Amino acid sequence: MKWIPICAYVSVRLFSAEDCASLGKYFGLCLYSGVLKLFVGIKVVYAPHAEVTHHVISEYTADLSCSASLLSLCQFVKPEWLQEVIRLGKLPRSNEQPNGVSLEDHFILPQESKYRPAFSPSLLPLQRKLGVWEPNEERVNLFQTCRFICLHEKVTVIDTELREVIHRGGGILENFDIHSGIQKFGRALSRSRAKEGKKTVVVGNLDSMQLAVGKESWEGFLTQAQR
Amino acid sequence: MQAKRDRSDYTSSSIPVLPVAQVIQAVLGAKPDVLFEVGLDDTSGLYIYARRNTLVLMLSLSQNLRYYQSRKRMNHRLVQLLFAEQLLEQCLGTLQKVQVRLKGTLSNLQPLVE
Repeated sequence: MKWIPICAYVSVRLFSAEDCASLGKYFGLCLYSGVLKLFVGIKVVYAPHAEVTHHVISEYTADLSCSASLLSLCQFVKPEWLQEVIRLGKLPRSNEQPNGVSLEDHFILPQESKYRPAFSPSLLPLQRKLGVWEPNEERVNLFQTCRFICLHEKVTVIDTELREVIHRGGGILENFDIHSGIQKFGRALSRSRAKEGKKTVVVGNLDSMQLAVGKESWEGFLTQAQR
Repeated sequence: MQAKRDRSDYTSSSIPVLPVAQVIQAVLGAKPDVLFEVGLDDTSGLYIYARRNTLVLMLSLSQNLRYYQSRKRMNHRLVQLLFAEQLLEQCLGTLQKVQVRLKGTLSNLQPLVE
């Protein structure tokens, strides 16, 4: 007997309210296969999570959400994949119709390769390769040697997603409120540089930061980092 | 020309402020080193790069000047002209590199703007 966890991350925007309600029924659904003696748990979540195994999207996009999934070695699949899983899960046992075999009888998930998302038009040519979006062991703990200083003004969705990506990559992060001033920023940098075995990386939305503190002050921050 | 330079090429402890897109780029390429390259859109890094190159160049040309003067092989005025010409040529080379980098930045940023 074997427990196979399947956790699909679905952006709510991809589904109508009815679809979401329908998928919600499968939260924690357990199917039992008498033949293969498998317990199958299918969990659908609407927020990024480290245990997500399948990220449901229509298009591959170079954003933080997909980056987090790449760091967790997730598979990317189209919404139709999840719909097919649910359909197969709903089929009665010993189904004799030609519309498929119940997952309870034969636990064979739909092949992910048949449900690959499309490439977003915004992707760079180098990113329009399937290999880029496949699970890659080299991404495990990609940021473990890094110590990030994340500049922010107000905590936005992007900031939250960035933190998720850094944590998922095994990196350490320190948040820095841009309004705390240049001197405090200098101290944060010195503190970070003093940490042995970690390289300091400062990340921020450059345009937003400049707008928040003004051009002159922002240049002061940049100069401080360059020292 | 080397498209990107390691951070140590600029100053020993300089840390560029990276855009979020560069973190994404590191993940997609499965290369954390991307975080330690001065970003194409890091204009401060470009400035330091250009300034440092110019300083190295000035030093090199000054040494040449002293060499020529010590040997008295060339007229002082001619040496000055050669110095100016070489300086301009090298500065132009540096500016072209900066221009290529800026073009790269623009092409990288274009999809984000769209």
